[in-house]
Amino acid sequence: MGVAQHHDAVSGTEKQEVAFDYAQRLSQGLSSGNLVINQAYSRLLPKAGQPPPSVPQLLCHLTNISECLTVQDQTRFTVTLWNPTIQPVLHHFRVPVTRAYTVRDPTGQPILSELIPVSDQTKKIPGRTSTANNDLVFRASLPALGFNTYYFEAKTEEEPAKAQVKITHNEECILQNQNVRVEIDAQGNLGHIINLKKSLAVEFHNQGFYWYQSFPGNNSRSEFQASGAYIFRPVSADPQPVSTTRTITCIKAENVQSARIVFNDWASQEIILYDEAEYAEVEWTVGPIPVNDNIGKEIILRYDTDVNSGNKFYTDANGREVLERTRDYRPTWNYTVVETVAGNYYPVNSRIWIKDQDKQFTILTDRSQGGSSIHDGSVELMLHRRLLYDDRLGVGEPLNETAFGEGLVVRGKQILFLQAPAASAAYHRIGAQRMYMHPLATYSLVQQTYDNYAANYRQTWTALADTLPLNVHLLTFEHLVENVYQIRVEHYFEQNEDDTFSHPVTLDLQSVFNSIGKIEELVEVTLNADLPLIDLKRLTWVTGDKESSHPNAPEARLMANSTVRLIPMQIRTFNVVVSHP
Amino acid sequence: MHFSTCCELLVVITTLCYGAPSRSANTCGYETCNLGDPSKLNVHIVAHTHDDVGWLKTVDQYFYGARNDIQHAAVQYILDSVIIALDENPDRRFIYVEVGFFWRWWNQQTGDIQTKVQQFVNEGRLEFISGGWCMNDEASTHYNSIIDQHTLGAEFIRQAFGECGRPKIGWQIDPFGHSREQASLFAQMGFDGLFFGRADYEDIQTRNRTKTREMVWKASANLGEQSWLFTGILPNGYGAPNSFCFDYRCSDNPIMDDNRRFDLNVQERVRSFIQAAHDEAAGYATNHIIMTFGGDFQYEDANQNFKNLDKLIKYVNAEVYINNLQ
Repeated sequence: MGVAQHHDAVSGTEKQEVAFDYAQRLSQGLSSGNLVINQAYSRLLPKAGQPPPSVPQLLCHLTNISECLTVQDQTRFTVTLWNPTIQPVLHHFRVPVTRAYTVRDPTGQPILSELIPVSDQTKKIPGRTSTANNDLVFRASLPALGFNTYYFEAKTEEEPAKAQVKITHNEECILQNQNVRVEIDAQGNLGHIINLKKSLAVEFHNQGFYWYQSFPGNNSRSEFQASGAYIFRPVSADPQPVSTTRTITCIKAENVQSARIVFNDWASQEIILYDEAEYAEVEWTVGPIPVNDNIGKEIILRYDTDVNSGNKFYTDANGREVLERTRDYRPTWNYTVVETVAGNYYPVNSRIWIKDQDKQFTILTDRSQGGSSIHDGSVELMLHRRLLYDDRLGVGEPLNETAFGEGLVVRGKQILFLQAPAASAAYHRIGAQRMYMHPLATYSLVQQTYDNYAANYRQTWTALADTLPLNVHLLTFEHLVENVYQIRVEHYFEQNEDDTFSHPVTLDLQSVFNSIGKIEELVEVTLNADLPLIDLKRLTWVTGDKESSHPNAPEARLMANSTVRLIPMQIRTFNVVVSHP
Repeated sequence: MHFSTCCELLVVITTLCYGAPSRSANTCGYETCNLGDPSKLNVHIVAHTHDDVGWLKTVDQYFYGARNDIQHAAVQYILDSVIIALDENPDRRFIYVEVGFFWRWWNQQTGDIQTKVQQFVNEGRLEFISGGWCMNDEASTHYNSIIDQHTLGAEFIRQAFGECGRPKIGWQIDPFGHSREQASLFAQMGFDGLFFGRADYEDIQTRNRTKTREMVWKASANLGEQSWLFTGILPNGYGAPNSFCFDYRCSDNPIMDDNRRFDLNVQERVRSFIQAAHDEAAGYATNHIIMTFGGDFQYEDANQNFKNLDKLIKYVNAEVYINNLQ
């Protein structure tokens, strides 16, 4: 993780061989993480007096393409979902399977689980070897900072319930739950998203995949600058749709409704609405991008809306504070417009939105992407790039990654919120945090019957005894040595963005330590944890306008007790000494 | 070029002891700083190497110097040679940034070398800057990972060097664009400043014109003064002024200073340097400027860099000597 954050690593400006090396390091990191997970569960799972489980907790890295070879043919297994946030979450979870199962929740009750067919687009993803034809979808209501275990047992006869999943092709598709209505026409065009409780609607003139042609320059002069790993430079400011027609498959079950919209061989999206969700999800799949016409292509997903957003849009910085962006403008210098598209692209690490007086259309992303609003009411995100020219800024290779002998296929997720501007922060702050800190699934090939399993193992557990405020995030919880821990708590709302959550908040850190022991000592340290704050003496700077950086009196830095106060966007870091019971 | 300008110049080699230093002292941090001469342009030379933890080669190839056919770059030799060069002259200063590399090197050193390096750190001769495992990207990173990778590096430094090792300056000289949140996080790490190498060309033009290459960045809309951070754009990317790259990778001339030999160039080099310093100073508001001497994987033969830097500093400061030359 350390080297992966480097400005020639995660940025994508390294040679392909080096990208493979980073991937290997990350893979090793995941394996090491899996050992820690098993150490933890070997203590958390057994009930008092029981030995640790004899079978390990396994990770499945390819469930996003409906592949988990570990469990797909098993007669019984468990799925344990760890929720790393300090609030309970409701999560719909998918397990790729080859047969039908009865799923029991932590109380032993069989719960609703539905088999949703795996799409043809997923089945043909290069490298997928799974024979799973269905995802089994169930709803998990997870405790704060804790886990639930779901027990899967194969059904003995072919279950008839599958008929309850209704599938239509190339017909109008309305997805609707208690909160949201999504309207898609028979040609696969997204028409409206409606927030039913707030009576807000956003209309889409167009929504879908477009491609920019990458500039094929030889870099000999600035006007011949090629689009490459460092540079985004489209030939035209007018991206082309990837197809003129689409097909649509509409799937309706109780837990989930979705529309699978296929644009062409290499671009598709599934618009998904889970039961009770307050947002729609878009799972996009792009690639292999064809380049047999010798043209590099940069693929975006664009939403052209009726939001009266003018030339303004909003993007986050590194997943935290949000900045207002104005098209063709820089706040601190006279900007000369040279690149009409690229000059308006900004990093989107977690969210981008456009808004007017009545409504705000927010997109949360599951990864960092470039994003912009090139026209009033429009918002777009760069999903995938396949380029044929080096941009001569160092790396010496075109950005043209392949796997399995073809261009890469990339799949990701966006979450769409439609809310009033004043109500939006609560949704995008909490939504983005839950997306980043999504539950971690581990799988275990248990041999016992359910009753035996339930007798030996805990199936639900939380580290918290109390409910913690919704605007506090547990950013770090690390065991340093013996009885010393490091903890970061964060107020993750900004000032004035939400009536309820944008205020200072206090919490007792002891709440987070209840399962470990009693806090004996608490030392607040700098954000990188290398100095007690009480010893920190920053230089004071005075600006040309005679403003001084000298801070106001800091809060008490050696704590009398474990209650801490956080102001909006504040992160506080503590080294904590605990006495174990 | 007016020769008289030399009299307004004082050159010191420094770690990012910003405020500026030179004399060696048995202490680290700002106490070692030479505050310069208020009547002169004070040039604070920062000797550094920029070591990518992966780019054209893998992080391990860079560390060992493998696959030099792809790019000649060998971090282990850089650190070896810098430590020897620092040992030769207590006036020399160096900064190091990428703890991911330094940690690899440190683990392979003998106790004697480790003790020597600790002494350099305690005396302010070697200073850790930024101190993350890497120099993280600012566009594509999530704050959680930025904080974690800086904490990882800072913890190694704290354990190996204690308080004198503590980084106090952000050093984002190569990332391709800068994020306000990164500055805010640095401020919350207790840093006193941040330096960039890259910025939009129109931004730089404007700042040159208005002498605002340095500013106090108000890095958070929420956190007030604790998020303010002194931020400067380095004068020439992160390299030495034109024609002053003494590194083995460059082909600029060394300082040739024996007047019994041919090709004597001290006078010309001093004049060029003074001109370069004044050119670089044009975009800054005060009479203290930072000047980097370093580049990608430089200082593999640190003797070459330091021998010439020593001479450059000596001759530029020794007005009498230069006048005699004339």
